[in-house]
Amino acid sequence: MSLLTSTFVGLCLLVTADAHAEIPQGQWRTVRVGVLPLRSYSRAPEDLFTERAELRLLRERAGAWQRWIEESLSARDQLEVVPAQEVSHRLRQRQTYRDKLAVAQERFALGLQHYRRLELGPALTNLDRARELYSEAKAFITESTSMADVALYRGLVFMEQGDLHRAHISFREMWQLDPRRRFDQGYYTAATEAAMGSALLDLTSLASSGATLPSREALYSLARTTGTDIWVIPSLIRTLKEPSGGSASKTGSLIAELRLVIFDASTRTFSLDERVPLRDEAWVMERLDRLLSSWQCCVLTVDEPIKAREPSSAIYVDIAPTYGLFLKHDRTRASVHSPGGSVAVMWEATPSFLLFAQANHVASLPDRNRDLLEAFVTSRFTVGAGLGASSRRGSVFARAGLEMAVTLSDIEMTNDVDCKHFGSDHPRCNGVFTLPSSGAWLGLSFGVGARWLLGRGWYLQGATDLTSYILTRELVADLNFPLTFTAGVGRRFGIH
Amino acid sequence: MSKRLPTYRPGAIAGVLLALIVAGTSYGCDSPSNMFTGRWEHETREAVSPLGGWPAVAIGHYGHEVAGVTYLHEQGSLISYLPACPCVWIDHYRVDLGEEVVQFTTRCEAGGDALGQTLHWRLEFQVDEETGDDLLVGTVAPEFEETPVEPNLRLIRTGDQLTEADKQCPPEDLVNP
Repeated sequence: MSLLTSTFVGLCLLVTADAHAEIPQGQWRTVRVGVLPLRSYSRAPEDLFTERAELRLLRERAGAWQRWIEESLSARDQLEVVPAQEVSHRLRQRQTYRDKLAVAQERFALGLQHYRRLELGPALTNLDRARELYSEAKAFITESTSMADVALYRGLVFMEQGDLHRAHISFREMWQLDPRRRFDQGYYTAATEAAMGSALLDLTSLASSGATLPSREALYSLARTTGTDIWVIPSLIRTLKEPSGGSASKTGSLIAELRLVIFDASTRTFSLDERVPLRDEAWVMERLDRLLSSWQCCVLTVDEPIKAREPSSAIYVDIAPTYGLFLKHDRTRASVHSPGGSVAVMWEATPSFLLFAQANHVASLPDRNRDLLEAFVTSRFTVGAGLGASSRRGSVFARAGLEMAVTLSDIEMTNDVDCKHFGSDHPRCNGVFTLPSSGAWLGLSFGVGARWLLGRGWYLQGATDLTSYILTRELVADLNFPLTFTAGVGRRFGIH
Repeated sequence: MSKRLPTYRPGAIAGVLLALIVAGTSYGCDSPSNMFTGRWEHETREAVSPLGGWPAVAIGHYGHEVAGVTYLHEQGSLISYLPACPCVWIDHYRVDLGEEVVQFTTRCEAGGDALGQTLHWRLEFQVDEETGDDLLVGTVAPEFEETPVEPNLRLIRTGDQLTEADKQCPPEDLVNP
C-alpha cells in the first residue's frame, strides 16, 4: 500500500512540476496614447446665441486642462503621447481617407445646392451620403466641424419636411460634433431655434449620463489606423446635484465636472471613466494625477504581442499503419511479418510527461517457407507513460507500458514440408505446433517516437516499440519480441 | 513578431499517408515462393524410361521445399495407372530458386520402377514461347547412374491449384473407382 501511495505521489509531482506559468521577462512596452480634443457639453439652451461669463471661463480653462493632461502623460514612463496633429497627419496620409473626404465634401456641396433650391429630396440624399463617407473615414476627430455642418443641414432639411424627430436627432449630432457652435439670433426660424435649443438640452443631459462617447468600433478602427494603443477622451459636462440636508423644497444646482474616459484598443473597452468636480485648480490637478497614475500601473505590459493563452496540456490522437517483426521466431526459419493498423491517444499532461493508450490490430503473415501455416490476427492493447521534449517544430518522446495481446485465430507452425502439404493428420507429417485461439500475450513495451508538426494542430508521427512478452509460456518461448514500426498522422487538441 | 509554422494542405497530408501505407504493406508482403506448385503432366502419353509409364506430378512448393506425389499412368491412358506402382511420394528435394530448378527422388515401395530403385528427377522451369504454357523440362534417371544429356521429360502445368485428390497415394480413383 505504501508503495502504491508513494508511486501515486511521485506521479502527481511529475504532473505538477511544470504546471506553473513563468513570469514574462523582457522590456516594458511603450504605450502610445492619443488625447482627443476636450469638448464641453455644459451649455444650456439660453447659451445658444451668447456666451455667459461662467461658460467663457470654462472654455478658457478647458484648453489648460487639455494641455495639462497631455503634459502629464508625456512625463510618465513608457507612455508616448501622439499629438492631435500627428493623428490628423497619419489619417491624411492614407489615400482612402483622402478619397472619402474629397467625395464627402463634394456631396455636401451638392446637398447644399439642392437645399438652397428647396430640392429637399436630392439635398437629403447627398447630405446622407456625405455623412456616411465621413463616418467611414472615421473623421470625427479631424473633420468634426465639417461633419457638424452636414448634421446642421440635415436638420434643416428635416425641419422643412416637418420631421421634427429626425431634425432633433440631427441637431443633437451637430452639437455633439461641434459643441462650441454659435448662431445669430433670428437667423433661423423660431421653430428651428427652438429645435436646436431642445437638442442642445438633450445633449447636455446625455453627456451627464455618459452617452456622448464615440463608439468602441470607431475608436478601435481609428487606433489601428493611427498606430495608437490608448485614447484619452476628456470632456466637460454638467450634472445636477441634489441639495444637501434633504430638504425637498430646495432645488438642486448644476455642477460642472471634468470627465476623463480612457479607451484601450487592445481590449476594446473603456478602462477608465471618472468625473472630477471642478473645484479649485490644484485639487483638480491632483485628482487627475491620481487617476492617471492608477490607470498607468495597470496598462503597462511586457514587450510581447498579445497572443492567445497557450493550452496547459494537450491530447494527441493519431492513426497509423504499422509493421511488426518478431525478433524471436524459433519455429519459423524466416521472419514473420505483421502489417496492421493502430489508433493511439496520448495525453501530454506537462511538456515533459505523458500518458498514452494504444490499440493495434495486426495480421501476422506466413513466412517465405510457410513454416507459419496460416496467417493469424492479433489485437494488442498498450497503456503506459513516458517522457518527452518539445520544440515549435515537433517533439520526441520515450515511453513504456503494459501490453496485452490476444490472438483471434489459431497459430500453427512447422518445419516439416509434408505437414504443410498433406496436413497435420497425414502419416507423413511429423508434427505441427498449434496454439488454439484465443491465445493471450502479456508483457512490457518500450518505445521511442517523434512528431513533426504540420500546422493547424495536425502532425506526422513515427514510433518504434519493442515488446517483451512473459505470457503465455507455450508461445513466448518460440515467438516473441515483436518490433513494431508506426508511421501515421494525427491531430492535437489543446486543453485549457 | 513570432514566426508561424508552415501549414500543409489536407491533400498533401493524405498523399504522405497513402505513400506510407503502400510502402508499409508492400514491405510487409513476403509471400512464400510457389513457382512449382501445381499439377504437371507429361506432354505425350508415351511411357518414359525408366518409369515404365508416363508421369503426372502434383507438387506443393513452399519456399525452398517441395512435397507431393508422382502418379504413373499406363501408356496412352489417362485413367489407368501402372499396376505395380501407381504413385510415389516426392522425397529428398532440393530447390534452386535462382536457376528455377527443382530436384527430388522417388522410390516405389513394391517392386516396379526398375525393380524398386530410387529415381532422381531434375526439372527446370520454362515457359513455352509459342503457347505460353508453363513447363518443367528435365530428366529422370536411376539415382546412381549418369544423368542423361538430353531431357527425357517435358511436363506441362495443367493446374496451378492442387485438390485433395492430388495428395492421395494410392490415387483416389483407384481406391474408389
